[in-house]
Amino acid sequence: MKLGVRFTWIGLLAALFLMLAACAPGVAPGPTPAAVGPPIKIASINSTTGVLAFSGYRGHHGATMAVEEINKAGGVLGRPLELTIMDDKTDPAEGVKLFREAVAAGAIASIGPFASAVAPAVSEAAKELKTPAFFPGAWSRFIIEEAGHRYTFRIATNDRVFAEATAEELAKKPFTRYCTIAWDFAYGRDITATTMAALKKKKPAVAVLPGCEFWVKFGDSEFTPYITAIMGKEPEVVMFGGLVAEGVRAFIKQANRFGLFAKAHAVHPSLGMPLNNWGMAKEDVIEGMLTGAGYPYPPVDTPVNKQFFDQFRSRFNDFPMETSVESYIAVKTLAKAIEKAGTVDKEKIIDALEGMTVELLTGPKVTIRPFDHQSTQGWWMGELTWNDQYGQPAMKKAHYVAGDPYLPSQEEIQRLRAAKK
Amino acid sequence: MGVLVLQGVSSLVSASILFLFASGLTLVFGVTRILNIAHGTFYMLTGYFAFTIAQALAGSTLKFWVALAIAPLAVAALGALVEVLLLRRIYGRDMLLQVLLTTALIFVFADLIRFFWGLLQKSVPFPVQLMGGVSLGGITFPIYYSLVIGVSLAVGLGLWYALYRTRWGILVRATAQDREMSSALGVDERRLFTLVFVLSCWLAGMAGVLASPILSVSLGMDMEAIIEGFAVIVVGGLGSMPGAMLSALLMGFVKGFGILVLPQFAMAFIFALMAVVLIVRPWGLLGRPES
Repeated sequence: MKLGVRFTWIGLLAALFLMLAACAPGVAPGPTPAAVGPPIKIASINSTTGVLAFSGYRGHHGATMAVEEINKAGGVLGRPLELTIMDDKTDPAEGVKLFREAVAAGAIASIGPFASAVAPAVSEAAKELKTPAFFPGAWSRFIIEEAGHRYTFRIATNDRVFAEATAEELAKKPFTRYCTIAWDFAYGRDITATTMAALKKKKPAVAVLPGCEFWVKFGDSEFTPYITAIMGKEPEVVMFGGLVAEGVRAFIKQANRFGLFAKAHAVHPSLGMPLNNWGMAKEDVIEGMLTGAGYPYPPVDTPVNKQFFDQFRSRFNDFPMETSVESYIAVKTLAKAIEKAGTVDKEKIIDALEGMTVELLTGPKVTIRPFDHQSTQGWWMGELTWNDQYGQPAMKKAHYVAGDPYLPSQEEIQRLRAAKK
Repeated sequence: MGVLVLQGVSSLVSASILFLFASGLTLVFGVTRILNIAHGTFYMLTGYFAFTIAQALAGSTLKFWVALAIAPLAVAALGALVEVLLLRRIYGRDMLLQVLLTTALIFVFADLIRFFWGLLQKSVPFPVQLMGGVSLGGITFPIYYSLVIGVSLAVGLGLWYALYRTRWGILVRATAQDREMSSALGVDERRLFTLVFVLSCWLAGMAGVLASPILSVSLGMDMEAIIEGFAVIVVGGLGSMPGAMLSALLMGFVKGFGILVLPQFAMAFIFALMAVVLIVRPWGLLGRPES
């Protein structure tokens, strides 16, 4: 079937353009401002493709909604906020490239990245370009503790907080025989190590059974041999906090087939997060298991949260998740800091942010610590349950645990950062 | 003792899914010399088809079986289209072109899947008839897993029979061994290639449907599968079907028992094995050195 050389060339060109379109960075202009004057530019860098995609784009929504609200109320210093939306594809190199592009285009800050995998790379770029980055997620403690600096901010909870809060609950129970399983990546290693270390300190009798600490290749969702190995050891508790998103859902689904959780208790410090539990079938929900979330469902009943939730629902016909809330709050806090500083000079904005109080949508007031730029945000601990209203898992008996007692002191931060160099 | 039996059976399950997936990959390479990087995409797409079929038949107790019967065939048909319209133009051309084209397919299909099914992972139900368990070493082993092992064995047997006991099989093996000679002897290369590609897509589809109740269907499962798939066929020998089976068994058992011995490094085992094989015997365990 000879269609001629020209056809083949056109076909190849078409294919090339299609591929280029598919590979194009996800960059799009945000909402058009309503206030007047030269815009103040910020960028929302989040993961809308990759493992975290189904939560990532909701981060953009949160930032967008905050910017729209601010602009409708007259902007910042009378000027409109202009938001550029960027997809880092859950890839560190892409995240850095986008951050540089944003700063080159005049952005004074980034909201994001959200992924723990991407944040460290962007952190380096933020230091080099002297432009602040707010992480609306990236819960791994090292990102702010060891690797943080003047230009990194995290209002989102330090995962040390939920590791400790979980350990505290576990220490009250009589169990001592533990197995852990996690994906082998920075957050997985961190949450597993931190939770178990905190638990052992509170309850020295606790031990991870020999040969029962499993590290699974990141992204691998075939857990059958791990489940049988765990069941062979007969633990009392399985701590799988290092499995996230579709990994934790696949693990629970497979483990339930074996009846693992009829024989052992389940613990996961962040399974209350929609990022981790949305998509789980009702029969797979382990009713009553110990877990937590930053933004639990059903939504915490405060006037601010209700307004945010309803507005998000009607604006996007979608449900907010942690990254939505954290992005929203980050934009609002940044705006407040610019107003307080009275200028868009980045250094003065950073000075204004240090020590600033942030009111969370769920009620508590937290502070941005001046010496590490980590907020004292805590965690909502409770039990996992099924929620018929949303047709998704949710939490019951959710209670807020403040972050302050668990966060490292200024001395410890200085020590950690010095050791890293 | 019970633990060993248990790990043995779960190793067989891993090996079965690996084999079903890798067999198609190695078959296509052996005959057409095309490394179908999009093989994982067909596997993933079948999972989504299975989800939709199960959704459409929500009330029926046969929804899984219908999905198992139809979804791989649908993907195989799609494979035929891809082969005829796209792959045919690049046979025998620069390797880079083949890689580009199959990689492009990955992106295009990923976006299509995202467009039709969204970002949230999909759950494919286990067959109702196989929800029970069998007691092994004190632990209840779901019967469904024996279906996976059984189908994989049946497919392996079927492939062996087709390749070694039928005339068509002789043509396939001959073309894999020496394409020019085979063509000179009058074998209709184009039809053969299409059939082989369609078969490989069907195999990927079978793997996809069988794996989907276990793993759940989500974007990204194509990359997971193709990376392990390549490791399997490299170790087994590119183009060797018995090699794929041996390699899948090896990988399954290395993973299953490796985690009992050294749980900290479990993830490295499969790739360490691949590295060792590549150093000691670069053409794979049952492969032939490329002449």
